[in-house]
Amino acid sequence: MNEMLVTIQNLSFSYEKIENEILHDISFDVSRGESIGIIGSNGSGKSTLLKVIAGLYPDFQGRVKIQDMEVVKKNVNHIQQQLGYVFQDVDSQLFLSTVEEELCFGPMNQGLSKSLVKERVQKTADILGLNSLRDRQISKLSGGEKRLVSLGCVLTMNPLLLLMDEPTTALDSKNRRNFIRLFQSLEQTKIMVSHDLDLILETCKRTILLDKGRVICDMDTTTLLKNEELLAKYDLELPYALQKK
Amino acid sequence: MNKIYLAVHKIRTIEELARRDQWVNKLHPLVKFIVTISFLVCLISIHRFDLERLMYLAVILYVCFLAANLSLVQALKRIWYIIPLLIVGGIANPILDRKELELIAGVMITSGQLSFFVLLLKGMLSVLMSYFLIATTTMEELTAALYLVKVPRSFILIILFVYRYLFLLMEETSQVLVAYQLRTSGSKGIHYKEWGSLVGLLLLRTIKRGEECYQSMKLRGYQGGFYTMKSLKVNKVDILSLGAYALLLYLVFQGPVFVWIGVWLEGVMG
Ligand SMILES: Nc1ncnc2c1ncn2[C@@H]1O[C@H](COP(=O)(O)OP(=O)(O)OP(=O)(O)O)[C@@H](O)[C@H]1O
Ligand SMILES: [Mg+2]
Repeated sequence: MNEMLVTIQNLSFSYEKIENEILHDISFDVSRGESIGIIGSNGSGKSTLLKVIAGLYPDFQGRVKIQDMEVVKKNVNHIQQQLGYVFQDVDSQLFLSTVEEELCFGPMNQGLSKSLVKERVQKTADILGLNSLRDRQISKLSGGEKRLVSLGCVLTMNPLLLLMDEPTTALDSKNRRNFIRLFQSLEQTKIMVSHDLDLILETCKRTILLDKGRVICDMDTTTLLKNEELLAKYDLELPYALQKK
Repeated sequence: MNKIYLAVHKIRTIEELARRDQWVNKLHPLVKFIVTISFLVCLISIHRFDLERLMYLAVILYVCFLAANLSLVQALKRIWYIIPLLIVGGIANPILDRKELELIAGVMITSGQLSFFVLLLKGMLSVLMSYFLIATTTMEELTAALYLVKVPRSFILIILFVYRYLFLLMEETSQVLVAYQLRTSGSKGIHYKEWGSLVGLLLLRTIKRGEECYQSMKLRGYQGGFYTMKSLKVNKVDILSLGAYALLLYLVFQGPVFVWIGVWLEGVMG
């Protein structure tokens, strides 16, 4: 049995500390190197779950542990240096002015030497095909280009755990295909939220279905995504790859 | 395209200027920071009727612009909209202060007019000098340099956040305006009844964006340090440039150069 990287026990969370709970009693484990998909209809709490795991809202109930470290206020800084988080909305993720600055920001904060930062950035730019964009200004990029940059600036940090919130929105089919290849080649532990069930089917062995902040089921992706009845009940559809012609 | 979008675009173009590859841009960010600050200090210290020394400073500014290969005309085009502000700030002077003065040989002017003019020029010069700084130094380099010399972190953060927040605010404003215009069949202005709710919306949106921006910084390992990939070693060129500037500032601002020129002219004329 693999060592656990993320452990979540009885996690409940609400934004304004009132009765309106967004996440209810969520428990699951993620072992090292595993890829997990999280699906669910709009507003079911997927993004919130990722943010809580990333330590952005440390005043939740229950326990979240990442690599034997409790996600509590005093550990948050340390934990966040080992995380890569791809935002659902690229514009909130990118805040510097050029692509190059964005790519360097993470590794520089990790305290790497300049030559190492350069090396990492070069490698990432090669993988994502960002070389021609490096001197461009973020505000002048297309939606898909920004998406690639947002992936890039997370990869340059070489994180232990990748949390991705709809990482393929705005990508064209070629880049989506590249992303899938990239995703499969990464050895890190990955948790990915997506509405693209075909993507989940291709990349994640295990999938968690969320509805109104509750874990409805947590199982093998193919079994889950074949279950048309279950999916329909939670406003989802069979992925194309599994639809009978 | 609405005006705010264009304004954001203009500032972004200034940032592009800062990334040009030439010697003033390559100077150590601290050199440029010191140059700017010392210029501003001299500027502030000028007496409100002292047009002459203000002119000397204008010469220094011009030299800086030349050295940095910046176009003064372009800069003026970009900052013209501060002129109304300066006018509003100083308009009381010529109205209230009507004492007559002799400017040069026979040209009469009231002291109010003079101080108004000086104020206007002072404002322009200080904005132009700040323009010089941001058009030759990226925010990233500047904050990293200030951090390196142990300027208090809160001070750097203020500079950085004001700068970044400005963009956020402007970008959000521009988006809200576009959305508004699209849904009111392209109306030119905004109905006064909607101003209140729009401003409120804007505030909420920028707060949200600001928070997300902070979250994104934290998630990428930000822990209060400021770094840049540029080398922050002080070179000979940096020291020489700063020395040259200090000399220039002394000679021109303190005026000996003009005294020498005067003496020389007298000698030439006989
Ligand atoms: N900052 C916030 N403050 C208060 N409520 C919030 C906040 N962010 C999200 N919510 C609420 O929490 C609920 C879950 O939101 P969340 O963003 O996690 O959904 P999601 O599953 O990611 O949806 P989507 O598929 O649309 O991205 C929603 O009802 C939303 O209105
Ligand atoms: Mg979401």
